[in-house]
Amino acid sequence: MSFSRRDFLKTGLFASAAVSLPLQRFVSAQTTLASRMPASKLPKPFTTPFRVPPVAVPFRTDEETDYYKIAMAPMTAELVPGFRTPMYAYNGSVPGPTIRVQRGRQVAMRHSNQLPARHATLKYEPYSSVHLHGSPSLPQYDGYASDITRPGQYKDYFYPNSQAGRTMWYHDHGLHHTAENVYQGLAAMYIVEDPQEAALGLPIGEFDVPMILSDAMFNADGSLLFSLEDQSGMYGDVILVNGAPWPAMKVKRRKYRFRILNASVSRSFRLSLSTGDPMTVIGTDAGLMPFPVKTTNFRHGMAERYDVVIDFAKYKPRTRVTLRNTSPKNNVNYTNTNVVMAFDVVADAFDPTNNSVPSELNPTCPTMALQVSEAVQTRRFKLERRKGAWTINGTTWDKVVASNYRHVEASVKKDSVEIWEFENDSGGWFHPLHVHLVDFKILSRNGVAPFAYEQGPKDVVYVGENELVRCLIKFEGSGKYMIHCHNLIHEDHDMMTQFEVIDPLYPADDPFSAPCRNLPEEYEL
Amino acid sequence: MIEAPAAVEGQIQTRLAAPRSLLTDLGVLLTTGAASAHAFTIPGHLRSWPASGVFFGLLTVAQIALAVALFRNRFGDRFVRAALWGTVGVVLVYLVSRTVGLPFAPGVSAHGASLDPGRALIPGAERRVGSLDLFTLVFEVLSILVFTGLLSAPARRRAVNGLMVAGVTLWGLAFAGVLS
Repeated sequence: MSFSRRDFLKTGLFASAAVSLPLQRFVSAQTTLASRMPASKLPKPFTTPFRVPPVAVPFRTDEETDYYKIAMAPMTAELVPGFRTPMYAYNGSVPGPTIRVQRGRQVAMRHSNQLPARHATLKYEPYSSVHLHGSPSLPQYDGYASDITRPGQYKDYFYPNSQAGRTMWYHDHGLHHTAENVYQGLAAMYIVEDPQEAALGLPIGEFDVPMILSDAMFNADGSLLFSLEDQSGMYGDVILVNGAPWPAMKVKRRKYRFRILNASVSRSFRLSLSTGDPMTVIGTDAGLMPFPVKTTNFRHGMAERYDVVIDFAKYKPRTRVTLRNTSPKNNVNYTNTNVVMAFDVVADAFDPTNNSVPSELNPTCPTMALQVSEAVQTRRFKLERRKGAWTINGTTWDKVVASNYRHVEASVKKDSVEIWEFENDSGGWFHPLHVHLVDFKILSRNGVAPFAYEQGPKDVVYVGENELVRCLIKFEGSGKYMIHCHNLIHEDHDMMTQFEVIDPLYPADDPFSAPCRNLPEEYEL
Repeated sequence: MIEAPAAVEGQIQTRLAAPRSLLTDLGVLLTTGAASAHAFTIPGHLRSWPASGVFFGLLTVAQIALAVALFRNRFGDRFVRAALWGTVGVVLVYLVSRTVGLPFAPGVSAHGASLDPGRALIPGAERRVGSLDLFTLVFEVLSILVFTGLLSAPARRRAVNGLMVAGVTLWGLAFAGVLS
């Protein structure tokens, strides 16, 4: 064989191209994790103060409606003390400002997308779609994933707030980019206050505390880091509560109501107190439970909300009670992901009113009063990874798009009651499944009763490993709505489909019937 | 001992009982290494996308057969050319899968959002390159060079020119941002 220098150069062109391109990716992947902020630079748990997200103030109100303007824009937050983290924010706040509204008052929200045309490092266009999670919004205001608002555009959303009082949240739902957008800060709480609830004497005011849990991972320069585990999820090494890492909160010796939302991309929690004392669960996703439930720990999937009362009366001042996380399986854990935050008991005087939990909260809750005998049909939804994509009954959102949004996984008659079964045959992952529009009641898990603390109205159900979960649902409203896994990586990588509620008397609104407009604003809201 | 006639392009030659050269031994080693790596990935591929598992199964069998033929010194120009361009094809498929994504592969095409076709939603998520990938790739690229060396002079000249065209095209696409 004779191989000339010219031959070497020629073949070298191919060899170098073939190896260099993947090598660059390999090195880049190694560098990504290598650039992770070292544990020594992360704050120690319980060294940052607890804070509560600001409450949004309507710019205008009338007899029936509160009007808000929310701008999605880049901002820099100090999540880790001493570091500036570029984020995306609603009105400059991470988490975004809390909306509080009385039941029956309407809210109009103008969301303007002032994000850059392209994310600087992730190289995607940060278009948005805003979903008010827990609201029976009309299809065009539900944050339909493909009804996107691109940078430089705005869209008005209208919410009836006709449902019972509950802890909701608004967050990004943009097609295939929800994980990035929520991870970077596009999430906030939305609370419907209910006169019926106010009469119960539950903690209010400063003792009614939003608690938004999330997790994050940081680069050495303080910027957010994405680390994916084969698309199974995104698991951070820092636990954030209302955007603060492992905060410590001063608490008075009385009862507090914590509205706990798990806004993580992929992490589920099992929460407990370091004292081993019970907490009282009073509310689930869709409002108050019929009766309070005491539990020493509870599993909390992504997007689920649990309203929990913790009584600090028995603790002496200067006692520290920590909120622990004994992680459910199939999460990726790090040194301090086993703790969430601390409560430091102080001797300060406090208002003794609204310091009780009645034995009955919402005994006539319509969702919990539903009976299996009312169900007219049973449907099964299989949650599985198929050919590399996360699917529901083998369907992805791409299939919905390809059908020109005609494909529906279920077509349901308005006001009918059905049993929906969610099946997860895998032992390798769990799926918190969210059904838009409706509230439902969990009937069973693998044939046995659901956990006591989840026996309240729900809109997300934790479908654990190798579980078959049955839910009883009454379908009110009409139109097309999404069903998806709330592990946002799964959702984006396409575990999402839709169902349709058909009202035989009136045609439903189309999800695209209220399109966004280009900025600047053409008219006042 | 029967010595095969001098290499004639396109003609299958059989070098019966001819001593194996160092280059042939290297070809056996590299092809076996690549086959082993592919075999190792079959179960995972079958789980995530059965068609890809079948592809890697067939590829493993083909590479083992190739290694056996090289070991037994039973090959000619046509055989070596087939091995060379077949391996180039495998490398190209891999490059596409790790850059723009394969149009028919579910992992990538399923996420080519309508506004952003062909780009992974979380960049790199579906197209990560692991150490086993690199190991196999290097073995295959080296085996391509070995196969080139095993060709007769006229066939080698054409192969080298073909590889140059492929290399220039790849670099061009990379600089144009198509393969990135």
